[in-house]
Amino acid sequence: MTTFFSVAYYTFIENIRKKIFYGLILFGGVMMGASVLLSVLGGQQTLRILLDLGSSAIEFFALLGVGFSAVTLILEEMESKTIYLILTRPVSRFHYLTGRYAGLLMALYAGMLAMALMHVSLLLFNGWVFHARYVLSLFLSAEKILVVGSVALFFSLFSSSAVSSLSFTVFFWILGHFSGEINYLGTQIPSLAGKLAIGIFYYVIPNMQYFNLRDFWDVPQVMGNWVWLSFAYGCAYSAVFILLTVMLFKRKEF
Amino acid sequence: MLRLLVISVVLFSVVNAELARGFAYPLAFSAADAAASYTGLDIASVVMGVRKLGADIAWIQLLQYYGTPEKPLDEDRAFQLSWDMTKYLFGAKIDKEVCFTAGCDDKSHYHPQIDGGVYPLFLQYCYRIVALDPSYYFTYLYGGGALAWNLNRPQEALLLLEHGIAVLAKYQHASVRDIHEPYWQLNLYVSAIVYRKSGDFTGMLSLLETAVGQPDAPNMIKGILANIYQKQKKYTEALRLWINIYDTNDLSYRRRAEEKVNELKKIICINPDFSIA
Repeated sequence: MTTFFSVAYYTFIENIRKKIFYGLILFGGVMMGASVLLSVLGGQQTLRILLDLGSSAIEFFALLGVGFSAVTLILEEMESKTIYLILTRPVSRFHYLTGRYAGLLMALYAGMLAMALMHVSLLLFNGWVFHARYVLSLFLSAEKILVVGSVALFFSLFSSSAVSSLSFTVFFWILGHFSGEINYLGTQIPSLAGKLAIGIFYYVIPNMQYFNLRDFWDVPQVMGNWVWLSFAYGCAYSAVFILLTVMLFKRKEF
Repeated sequence: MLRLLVISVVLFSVVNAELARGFAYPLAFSAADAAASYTGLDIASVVMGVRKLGADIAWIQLLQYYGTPEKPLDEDRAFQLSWDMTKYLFGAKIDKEVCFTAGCDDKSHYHPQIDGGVYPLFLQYCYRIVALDPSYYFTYLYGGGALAWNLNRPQEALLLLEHGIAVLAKYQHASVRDIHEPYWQLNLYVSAIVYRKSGDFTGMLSLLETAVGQPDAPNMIKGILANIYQKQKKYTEALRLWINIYDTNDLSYRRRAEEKVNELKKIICINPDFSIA
């Protein structure tokens, strides 16, 4: 377990020191600053625009971060051959891969937290009354990042090209927001084979709407047990993909 | 490893099945939403899972549409007006006074909505916003108010408000408390419009008074009521409403509220030293 924490800590520090990490946080901050200008155009809806644009920016920049970092997380080490230095030591491939993934997530969550602090300060300065649902929606956004990160990591080993891995990941992200429609399509198709194919597709694609509380938190009485189930869903989904990635990684020969 | 994978898949399947039973996506498109005309930006917001942000952008586009004169302007005039309106929104000094008085033809003033305008796509813009975010209550209130009292199309206002009531009714089965607040406000607006159509202005006025007492009442409705008060020579009530509008810090109404307060202050002459500026 010590090796897991060591790899995670090393990855965390590595990502924190990357220029792109600061760039993303900076862009997130600039985006939130720009939201002040945009909100001026919204008449009486200033706060709503500040809230929506800020929380969307946090998620979007975290998505960019996880997309670019996860697809190169192992590939870069393989290309630079630094992976030999680690794997020749008593570090299991399972610990190495999960440690790398945990370290990356920690760095991304630190970035999200920094952006969220900036966002909340901006909102409070504009007279917003803090609501616990904000924290919950941020938490579920972090779950999205967890899921997308595991998918990106899987594709990075599966396809061995950063561009195609990123394309597949974005494809999953987009389809994930259409899960409801995919399911509806399945109910409308008359043939059994079609239903089965759509059913499998619906099952494999992560349903991102489970984590999209940010988009409908003001719908009356929307809260319920599903929030905690979403958390379990995200963890189970990413566990499946991480385990598949580990299996692929174990078969890789260097 | 394989055992762990099997356990994860089983756990995932169980949770997935539970979620499929316990979670109903509240923003699913309905047949009624097909009536709205969408843009590429709306599709992008749906695809990226940021429908609320898409609705906010559509809301700003509605305000821009409603705030742009319908008569085509020549390029120089359009540029000058746009630049001056930007300065006006940010509270900067401009060369000419902005005048909202109906019928005023003084060329040394700017008249942001000179002829009132028809704005035929106003309802379409509102439908587009609420299709992206059906719980955007303010759109129902603002849109209903503008269509009924400013654009004189109460029938369209009723269509929008009834759409809102139908949307909210969808959530009523799952709602106990917080449905009532926006729900009754939409019904209140419907009743006020029905009173207006039947010519019962006393009934309409009492309902509008209740409506503007709510914390999320649109400034436009407050302004309409204040103007009615002023016509009825109820200057104190009108002054109170304009001060209320001024206090909301809505930049699009702030200057006008300031002007109205000063105008009413002069009419009332109770306290000549009174100033909110």
